[in-house]
Amino acid sequence: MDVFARTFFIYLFLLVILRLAGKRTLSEMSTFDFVLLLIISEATQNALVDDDRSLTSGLAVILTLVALDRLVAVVKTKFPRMDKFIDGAPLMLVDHGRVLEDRMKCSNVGVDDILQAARQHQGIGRLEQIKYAVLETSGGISIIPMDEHADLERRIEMAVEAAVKRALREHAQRA
Amino acid sequence: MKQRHADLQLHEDLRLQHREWRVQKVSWFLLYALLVAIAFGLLGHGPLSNSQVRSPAGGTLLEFDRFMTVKSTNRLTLTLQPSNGEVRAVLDAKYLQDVEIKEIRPEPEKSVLESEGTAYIFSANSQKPMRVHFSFEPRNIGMLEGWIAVAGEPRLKFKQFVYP
Repeated sequence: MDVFARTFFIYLFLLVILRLAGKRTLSEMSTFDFVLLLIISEATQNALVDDDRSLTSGLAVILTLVALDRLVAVVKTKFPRMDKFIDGAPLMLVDHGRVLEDRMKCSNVGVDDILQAARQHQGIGRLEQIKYAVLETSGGISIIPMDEHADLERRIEMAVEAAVKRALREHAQRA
Repeated sequence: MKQRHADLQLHEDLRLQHREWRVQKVSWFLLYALLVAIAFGLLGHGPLSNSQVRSPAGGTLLEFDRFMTVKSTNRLTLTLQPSNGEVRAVLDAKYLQDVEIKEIRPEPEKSVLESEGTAYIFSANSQKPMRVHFSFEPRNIGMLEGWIAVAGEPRLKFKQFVYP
């Protein structure tokens, strides 16, 4: 019983504290995030198994954790509201190259983070080339680039129109 | 949530988002306060936790931690009046059931099981107050009450709280 109670409590605590820490915490796996993860797991381990080093209690802990995780997954799919409550919702940070300042400030994301994500995942170098940047519930930033060919048809049309006009003009001059 | 962009299917929830930020702000304020309290001894080993009782005559002093965590090493420090010869300190039997004594320094000459508790007998030859340390680990969670009595003096009662 003790093992289940401990594991449940730790799971709940980690769920709440990591949710309170914000989406960005532990999301990017920088060197320091990695160290933080190791330390958290070490501290968690002590609290989970206490001084019981038996195989069976280790298995019981793993079983409890996985079962809890499955339970949470079921709850999330059954109740979309709970999903939002547990995982949060995605948040748009850049809209057509325009940075949404207050949202960035509240979620502890800097312009540099967005530019980094743009370079890493899309090979984009400038803010104006970003159509949307979205802070995902996992803490990552996804980038949707501006569609450079969106008005291609219109541009071709204009170019053709200009060329035709020019040709007509030249034709008129020659005549 | 209404969709504002035709070419991006994003289920934002700004109301929830703002509530989330507010909850985060308040929670972190409380968590930081908790952190400061822990630094000052909310879980033991700090000024919030240090406590002492003195015998009415003023000679004997017991220092103890108000807060402890289970299975951590803690200390009771007993300061005894200068004396020559045998000194008896009796520790509550009920208290001894809830803790595991790891070490007594200096070691008592002998310990005697009595009906109310265990008597530790030290031989002393000192013109200055003497200090005896009891190192122990609490075994149970919750309120811990006990007393310690030095021969010929009333019991020094103390209360401690053991966190899980």
